[in-house]
Formats: sequence, structure tokens, C-alpha cells
Amino acid sequence: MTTVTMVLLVLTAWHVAFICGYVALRIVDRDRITMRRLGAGRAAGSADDLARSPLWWRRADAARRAGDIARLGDRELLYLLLDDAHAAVQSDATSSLESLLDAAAVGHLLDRLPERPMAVRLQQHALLARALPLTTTALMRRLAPDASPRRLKSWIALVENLESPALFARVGTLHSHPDPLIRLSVARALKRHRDPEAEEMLLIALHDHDWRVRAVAARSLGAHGNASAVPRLAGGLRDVRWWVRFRCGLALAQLGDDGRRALADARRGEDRYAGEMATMIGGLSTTSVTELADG
Amino acid sequence: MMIPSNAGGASTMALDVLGLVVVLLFVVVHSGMALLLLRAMPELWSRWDLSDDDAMRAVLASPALPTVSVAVTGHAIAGWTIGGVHSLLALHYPRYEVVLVHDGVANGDLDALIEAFDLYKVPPAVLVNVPTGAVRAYYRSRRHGKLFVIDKAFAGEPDELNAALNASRFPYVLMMSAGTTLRSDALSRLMRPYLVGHHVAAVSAAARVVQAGMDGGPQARTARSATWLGGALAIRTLRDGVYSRLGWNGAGGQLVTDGGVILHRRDHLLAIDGYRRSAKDAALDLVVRLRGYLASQQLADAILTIADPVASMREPTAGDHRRRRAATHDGQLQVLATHRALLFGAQRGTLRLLATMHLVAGAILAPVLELAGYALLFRAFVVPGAWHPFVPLFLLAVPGFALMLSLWAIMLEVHAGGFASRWEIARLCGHAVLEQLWYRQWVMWTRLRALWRAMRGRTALSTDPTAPASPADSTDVAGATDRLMPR
Repeated sequence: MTTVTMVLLVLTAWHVAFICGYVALRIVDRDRITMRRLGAGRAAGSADDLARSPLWWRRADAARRAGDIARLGDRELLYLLLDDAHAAVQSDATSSLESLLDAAAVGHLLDRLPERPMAVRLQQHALLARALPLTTTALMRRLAPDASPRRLKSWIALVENLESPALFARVGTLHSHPDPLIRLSVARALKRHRDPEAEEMLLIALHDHDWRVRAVAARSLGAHGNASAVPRLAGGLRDVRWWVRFRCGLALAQLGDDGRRALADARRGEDRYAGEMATMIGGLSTTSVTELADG
Repeated sequence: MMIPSNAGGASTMALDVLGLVVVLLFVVVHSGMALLLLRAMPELWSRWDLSDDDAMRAVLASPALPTVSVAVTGHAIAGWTIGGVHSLLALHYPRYEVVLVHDGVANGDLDALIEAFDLYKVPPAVLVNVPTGAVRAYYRSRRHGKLFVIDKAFAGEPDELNAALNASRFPYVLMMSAGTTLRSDALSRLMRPYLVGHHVAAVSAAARVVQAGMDGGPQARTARSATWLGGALAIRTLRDGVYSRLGWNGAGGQLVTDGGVILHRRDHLLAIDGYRRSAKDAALDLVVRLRGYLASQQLADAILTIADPVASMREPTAGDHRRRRAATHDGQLQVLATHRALLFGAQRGTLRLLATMHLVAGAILAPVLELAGYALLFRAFVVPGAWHPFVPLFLLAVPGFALMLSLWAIMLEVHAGGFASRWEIARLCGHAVLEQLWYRQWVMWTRLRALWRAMRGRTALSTDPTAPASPADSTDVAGATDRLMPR
């Protein structure tokens, strides 16, 4: 066999492999388009068969079909598909779950929330918000200091989206949690809860030993817009951390004339770092302050 | 296995062996590319287009999505900057900011920017985490709260990237050149791997080439350029920039980031002290160091590529393209010299070692052996009686195999719906043939010149990782450790 023949064979082998792969790609893509065009539940095969398919759109169809026949009690299949490796299948299973959402399903969703991909997690936030009474009851039981920090963090983020006063109050009880990331999550969530008690917690958080918590607390106080926080925020301008001084400066700029006056005082004061930060923040327009404070 | 030869003697035998080495190298290199294009197929069918899913519409508009800083550096052709910034400010993504570094040497666009966006000077409310050259001024816009402009003297591309990195406030940073345009849904597409739960350190996308002056460029998938250079670049982008990189995804992503846009996690960039100022190819140098950092932290995060047409760039002039390619080749050689311990370390695993060998083969071996191949080809044609099987072998293994790979890339693009008409497909196939007749040789020549410069010491091949950068214009030294501010 000559070398030319060998190279030709190598090229032919690669080309055959590619063409086979390409034909397979076209066939599975056509299958995906057909499944989509047919809509849920119209493809051949049972939901159980589809759920075992190696093709993710077939498993997604199984999830949609399980939603259609949910009243017949295919909750187990939906729970299985909620844990699928492909996020699209999890998403379709989430949509299908809406029609049979009860306390058990809400509990299942909440307990697995931190493990979901972000897109699915946000979709589940919306679903849980639509079942607010059930979600509130389930969360009130779960938001306890002894819960795992990972879950707590995820639930506090959910509370931020739900905006329920009862849940905010419950989250507030975690403001002295030993994990700084939980305290940080609480300080961030309380930004949306304009309540005297929440403000008091944020003022306490402004003296947290973790600088990240102090910075986030300052941001939340700025968003609340209560001028009574001005003296403590002015004190924060002398913090050893740049970010805390920056956040306190921005918060002061959001608190109207009192805050602006505190910035002017800091500019004239003896603390060099507080003065520099006050000069920086004082030079920003109102739009820029809002944009920076929001980010 | 020897090539049959008509002529005898030791010199002829040596030439035969050289010919065989040339052919074998290209068969191996092109087989590697073929494998990557095959591996791109599962990536294509596992893709979930979030923007095409009804359930995800509300999610993609949610303010709870991670915030992104779009950092724009480098020079653009006159008149681009304002239009380009306007298009960046109109991206469809809930919360993002645009950080533009104006270096003052390109077009003197600053006055025009001030007028167009109602910019006003702001105090340096920026925490300098990575030292950079002196900044002249910072500007914000009264009309667009998202826009932040840094005016500084040009001190190299890495310096500009670091200035943009310092000013970026959000946890994800998209690094892009001023000459690149983003599609309106680019950010949500680039964020997709993070949103669907992949362990990702960075996401890159190639910039498609569009003809200068064409409207709707950002929406174009594939080049509609009529020129030879535009066509050749379109083919190379599809084959090397999109689908072969997609094939690397399964192995954690590729090292090389030649052109396009790349979305990083800001904390990773700060952990490795941003871009190295002396790097000739700042993006490649950064990706190599990022891989080292991820390995040291035992993080399995990948550097993924998406095939979506999220970015486009205008077809460069021949001069610009020549300079860019020269810089790219210099950068590759510099990275190979500077990071040899990191690249060739045994602890990196077989796949990563193969990726490095791919870089070595492309940057050093391929141009030298291809030149030798052309010399042998020339000899076969001009020396009487010298014709032998090397001629068809070389034509099959080098331009033939490469042409086949280009046609595969076009087929994959056809599958992805990247062409508006059959005429466009036919034209790109024509460019694929032409690419093998002139562009391939031109790239070989620029690589050889880069090698020559490196051998003569005109290119700084290695950089001292511990060498200090320029003096920082830090606004706050005491706070310089506050790097990872959570939202």
C-alpha cells in the first residue's frame, strides 16, 4: 500500500466519520423540532419511556406530559425530572409542577433550591411567589439559625423576591447569625423592607466585624432613605475599609440635605480618608449616585 | 514506510524523509482539528436556547440576574466609537454597565464623546486593585447612568484592560475591543453557561467578520464580505474560532483566545492580578495564568466557547490585519516561553498537554515544516525527474485536508442556521478554496517572521511574572485588599 493511499484512507475515514455524525445531528435536530411542533404529550411512547431518553428534549417532553397528567398522580416522575442533569428538563418540570403545587411540592422545591441552576432557581422563585401562602408557611418553619448556611442563603434570596413582611421579619431574626455570609444576605434582603425594626438591625450591622456586612448594611440604609441613619453613616466614612467608606458616602448622598451636609462636614474634617471619599461622592450627579448605589 | 523515490543518494533520501515528516505532521494536526469538529456536534445538540423558551422570558428579564460590566478597550475606526457605545447602551439585559477606556491617541474622540453622552468629570471613585498607568480623568454621563469613561494615556493593551477591570463594579466582566459590535441579546447568551449551572470560569465567543459599511452587522452570523481577506477571515473564524473551540468545551475549553469577546468572573481576574503588562497577547497570557490559578485552587471550572453569533467586527484593512496577526504570533511565542512550566507540567493531565502541543505545533512546527513542504513541492516541479508521490501527498495532507475541515465548518454553520441563502453558502465555499491558495501561505509567512524575530531577540520572549507594573494611581492604598465586594 503506498503512502498516498494511506493518506487518502485517513482522509476518507475522517470524512465518513464526520458525515455519519452530521447525519445523526440532522436527524436528532429534526426530532427536536418535530417534538416541539407536536406539543406536549403527542410524541410516541409513554412519559416513562420519554423520561429515560438520552435526548434532553424528549425528557423535557416527558416533564410537560407529566404536568398534563398530573391529576392522575405522576408527581414522582416530575420530582425525578426536577433533578435531571439538563437545565431545560428541570425548567419544564418546574412549569408542569404549577398545576399540582401543594405543601409537599413547595417543601420539595425549597429543600432543593440551592442545588438548582440559577435560571431554574429564578423560575422556581416566581412559581413559589405565586403560591405565597404555602411558601410563607414552609419558609417560616425553615428559616431557623440551625439550618445549613447554603440553604439559608438561598431562602433569604427567595424572601428578597417575595417581599412578604412576615418573612422579612423572620429573616431579621437571623441578623446575628455566626456565618458572616448569612448576616450579609440578611442585610441585603432588608434593603427591601422599610420598617423601623429592620432599620435598627441595619444600624447594628453597620458595626459588624465583617467589612462586607458593614458595606451592604450601608447600602440598604441608603435605599431606605431615612435621615435618622445619617450620624452612623457619617461615622462609617471613617471606616478602615474603602468599600465601607464608599457605601456610606453613597448612602449619605441618597439621604437628602442632611446626608449632603454630613458629606460636606467630612470634607472639612480631619480624617483624610473620610475627606477624600466625601470629595469623591460629593462630585457625583444624582443619577450617578443612584446608579452606583444600585450596583 | 518510505516514499518511493526515482533518484538515489543520501540527499534524496534526506529530502524524502523530510517530505514524510511534513506530511505526517499535517495529517496529525489536521486529524486533531477533525476530532474537535466532530466533538462540536454533541455540544450543538445539547444546547438549550433560553431566549427561545417561553418559561425563560421572565427569567431573562429578571433584575436578579447577575450584573455584568462591559469593558471596552482599544482603538476603533473613526466614527465607530459613538455609534458603538450607543449600541452597547441598548443591550437587552437587566443590569449592566459599560466601561469605556479612551486612550486619547486613536481619533481624539473624547470631545465628541463628551458632547454625545453629556459626560462630566467625576472624582476617581475607583478602587485600584491592579496597578495601571496614570489616569487623566474619569467621566460619567448625565444621560446614561450605565456609562463610565476612563481617559488615560496609552500604555499598552494590558494596561487599558486593567484600568477597565479596576473601574468595573460587577461580578462578571465582558472584555471586548472597541472595533467589535455586540448583538442586542449578547449578554444573556454569554451568561447562558453560568445560568444553566455549568462550572464555568469564563465564556468566550468569536467575533464574526462583516463587511465595512454593512447595516445590521451585529445580527449577521457569518461574513457576507465580498473581499478575499474578508472571506478568508470568515472561514478561519468559523473553523478555528467557533467550531473547533466548541469541540474543546468537553475537555474544559481551549487555551487560545484569538479575537472575539470573553466574559470573565471578576474575582478570578483580581485573584491573578489582572492582565500582565508586558504580555504581547494579553488575553492568551491571562487565560494561561487563569488555568494555572484554577488548577492551584483545584477548581474544575471550564473556559467555554459558545457558537452563538453574539459579536461581529468590521473587516480589517490589510495593514491592520497584518499587524494584528504579527502581534498574535509574537504573543503565542511569548506565552510558550514564559509559561513553559505551567503549560508542560505533568500535573496538568494528558488533555491539557495535548492542547499545549496543539499550540506548539501551530506556532512553531507547522510554519517551518510547511515552508519546507513548499520548497519540496517547488523542487518536484522544476527539477527534471524529481516528480514523485510527495506532490499528491502534500496536496492531500495540507491544503486538501484543511479545505475539507473548512467545508465541515460550513456544514455545521448551515445546521446552526447561519446562512440566509444558498448563494452565501456557495460563496463561502469559494472562499474556503481561495483561502488555501493565498491566505494559508500568508499566515505561514507571518508566523515564520514572528519566529525569526523571536530567534533574533527582537521579541521579548519571556516576562518576569514578579516584575512590577507601572506605579499605581491608587486612590486608596489602605483599602486595596477589599477586592471581592459582594453585591
